[in-house]
Amino acid sequence: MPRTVLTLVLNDPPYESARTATAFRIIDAAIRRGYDVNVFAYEGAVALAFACQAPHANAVHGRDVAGEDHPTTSAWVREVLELARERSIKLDWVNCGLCVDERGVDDAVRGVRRGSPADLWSFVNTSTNTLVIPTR
Amino acid sequence: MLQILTVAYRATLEEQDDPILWLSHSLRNNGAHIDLLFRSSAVSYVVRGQSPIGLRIGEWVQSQPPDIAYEVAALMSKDCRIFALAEDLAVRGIRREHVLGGVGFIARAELPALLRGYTNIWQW
Repeated sequence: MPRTVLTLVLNDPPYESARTATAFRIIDAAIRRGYDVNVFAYEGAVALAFACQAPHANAVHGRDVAGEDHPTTSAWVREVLELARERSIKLDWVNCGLCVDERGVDDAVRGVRRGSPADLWSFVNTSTNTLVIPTR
Repeated sequence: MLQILTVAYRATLEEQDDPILWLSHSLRNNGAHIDLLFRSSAVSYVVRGQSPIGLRIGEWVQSQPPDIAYEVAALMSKDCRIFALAEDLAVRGIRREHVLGGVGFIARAELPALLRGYTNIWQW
């Protein structure tokens, strides 16, 4: 039986919208269900995998860096890539190259590749379904 | 594929285009069959004669302002059908004589029939 393949198109930059965490939860759940997943990161979402992100302390919470344990979306990207690898699931995370260039976020976590709308079109044609999560 | 756009002028000055119109062109150039439906504020995209020239930030002057209506017309020239929701045009006072030639006016009641004609519907 052919494996279910989901493609997600993400647009929100990190730390700006509840849609980001929702997207990662969907990706995580899809991998755990045994679905292959394609992610096309467009516009600000290309920064989700930016390797230069860093957690920080939180004086309002009274916590240092370790105590605050602040998540980074790049760490979440690493987590879902590792989850897919452990389960022999294909997770193909593509950043739109021109979006990367204009935002200067070309240092992406290992396992994320640079691509173009041609990759998105290829994903669409080989997926069971495609979900667009637009930005506002 | 039907692309439904609902938000107008999001980042269009700094992108010098609309990101979703640009993506539509790129997908079309890669062989996708795409039609577009404009709803809500995005119905403004089918208005003729828009001219966002003259943006200046400090000493920087924009030399390539976005030409949204041109991009919409260019998609039509690539055999993309363009629709705009009639009620959203009317509430904004946009009449047919203000609109690019070739744009289809779709009433809300006609949407189910329109949507049934597509296997992929992406709303932005």
